[in-house]
Amino acid sequence: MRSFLATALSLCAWAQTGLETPRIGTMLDANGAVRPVYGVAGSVTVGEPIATGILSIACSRKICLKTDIAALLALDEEAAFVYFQESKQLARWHAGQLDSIDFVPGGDVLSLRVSSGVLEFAVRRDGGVWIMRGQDVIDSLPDDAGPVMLLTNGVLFANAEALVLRRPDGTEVRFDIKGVEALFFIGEGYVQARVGLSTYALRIEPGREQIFLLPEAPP
Amino acid sequence: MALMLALAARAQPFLVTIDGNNQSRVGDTYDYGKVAAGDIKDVLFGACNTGNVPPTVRGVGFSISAVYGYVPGQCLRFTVRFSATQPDSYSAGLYSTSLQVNTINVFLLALVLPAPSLTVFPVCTVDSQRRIDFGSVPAGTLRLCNFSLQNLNAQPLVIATIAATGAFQGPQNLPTPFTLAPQEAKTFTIQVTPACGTNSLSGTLIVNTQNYTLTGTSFVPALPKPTLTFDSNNFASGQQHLLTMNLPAQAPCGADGSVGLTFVPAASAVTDDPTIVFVAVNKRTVPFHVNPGSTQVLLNGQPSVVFATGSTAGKIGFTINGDTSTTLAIPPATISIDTATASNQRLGNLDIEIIGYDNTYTAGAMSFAFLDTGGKPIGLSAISADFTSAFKTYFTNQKSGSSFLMRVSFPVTGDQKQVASVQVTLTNAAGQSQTGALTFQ
Repeated sequence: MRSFLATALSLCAWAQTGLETPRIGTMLDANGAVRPVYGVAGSVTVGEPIATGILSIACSRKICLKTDIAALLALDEEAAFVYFQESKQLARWHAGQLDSIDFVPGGDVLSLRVSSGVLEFAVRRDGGVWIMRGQDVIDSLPDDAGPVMLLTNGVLFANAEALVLRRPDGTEVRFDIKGVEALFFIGEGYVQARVGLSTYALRIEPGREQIFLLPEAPP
Repeated sequence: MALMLALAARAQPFLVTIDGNNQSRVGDTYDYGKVAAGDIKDVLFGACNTGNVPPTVRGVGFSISAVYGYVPGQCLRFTVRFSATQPDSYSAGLYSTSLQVNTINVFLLALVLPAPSLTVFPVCTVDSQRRIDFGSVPAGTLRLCNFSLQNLNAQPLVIATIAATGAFQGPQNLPTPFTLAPQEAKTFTIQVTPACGTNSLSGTLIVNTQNYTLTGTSFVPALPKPTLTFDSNNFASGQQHLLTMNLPAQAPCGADGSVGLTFVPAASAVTDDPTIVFVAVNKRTVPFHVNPGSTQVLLNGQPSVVFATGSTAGKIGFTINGDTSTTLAIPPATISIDTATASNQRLGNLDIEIIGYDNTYTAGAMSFAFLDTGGKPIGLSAISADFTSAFKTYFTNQKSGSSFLMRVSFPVTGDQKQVASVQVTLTNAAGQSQTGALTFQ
């Protein structure tokens, strides 16, 4: 073993490096333009629009979905579930194709996520906000929750007073942001919160939660 | 017969008073009314159908003070002035002497009343034309002027009216009518608070039959020197802070301006950091506005504005309308590591990815300490590498501050899964930073 490691490490003298501008993700600005966000948390610049006329986005490290009609998006590796809020129709997007899915949520759908390959969704009905897995209620949120974003590791929701990040163990991190109107995934570990003409980026990585304002447009 | 026709063609002479474009025909008498002792009262008359020879006035206190150019076919305009110092009734005759037939004969009447003596105290001044000047008054601020009204006559004097008009107010607490005994005096104040945007002030002080013109000018005063406050006393790169702007005193008038950001980097490697901005507008300036009577200044329409400290050490300056107000120091710091990961998924390579920023722009020297699956160090010491040149090249073309995403690959032979983790030490001019143990996965 030692001999192998010595051999392996003897090659390290030729370590190679590459440097580039880090990219937090892709934001949707107040004018419906999709822009790349460069930098690190708290110190960012935004680039030129890569799409315009967009109403919803969901971006991960692998893909970035954009729609020009109001929709809820749940990324699933390189596929996604899409819920069209106006027509109340669910579809699955994969390989550039959109397939309709029978879906009877029984209320107003607020968010989608894929957990272990199964679609889960938050729905407002009967005066409450419920998190469903198929026909089963697996959790609930305060009645006044909204907007809501189901995360892989918890749930993010806004109420009249704050933006709340609730972990599976019930612990919460609150951010003093009022009037959140929409939430989008904008990159690995980042969610965008739109408040009027302001856009916040929320870092949701456990233990590194942080919120900061995003520049709205290039200078 | 011919003579009679000529006489009939001659128009009847008459007298009018002229007030602007209005003319009023005068009968047998014209009454100047009540005139305060010592006051001057002018009346503009027109003698019509009398040719170009002005009438004459005979009587104490009355005189023709001006005759204006005659225009054929129009009335001859002239001013008759009345002034007398002794209270009494006055009369005079106004005669037109140019025509032998149908001359004008009008009696002029005036009643002179005793008047109080008005004294104006500084800072206000009064001139011979009875114009009282309040001076130059900052808009939105109160200017008071003190007056004294004294009866210098031998008999009591009733003050029936005393009031200020126009932009001026007062006097307060001096109800009328009141009587001034001989030699008695009363003081009072007249005030003015110019409205913002007003340049000139005008009004009248009326004391019985006497009018005094009140004048003054106004200007927009300078804003009280604003103070900038922050949500913290400690500043470092990679942060966002709130800036608030207040006035030490209420703004007398509304005002607009701009607050600016400047930045001087400590490192010579760069000249600026574009991530240092007022974030909401993504610019180095934001407009401010203050409402009249407020001490809070709105920045971009909000009570406070967020600015980013960027990722470069140096000095951030704040200017108000271009004048430097406050400077914040952003100290040099060790390399900030945002995220760091290690991967052994690529055959024959160990890949390390680090995202962070170096606010000194001196990154390059690094060391990599590898551990095997038993937790023991691999090799006698950590592997050193110097990427200074690569970082210099990168920073030269960088337009997002000092943030970087660095990928380092170590070619290996054999079973690379035997290398369990790595700890990276990054060095810059401010010291060293470490990633902690990064597990290869």
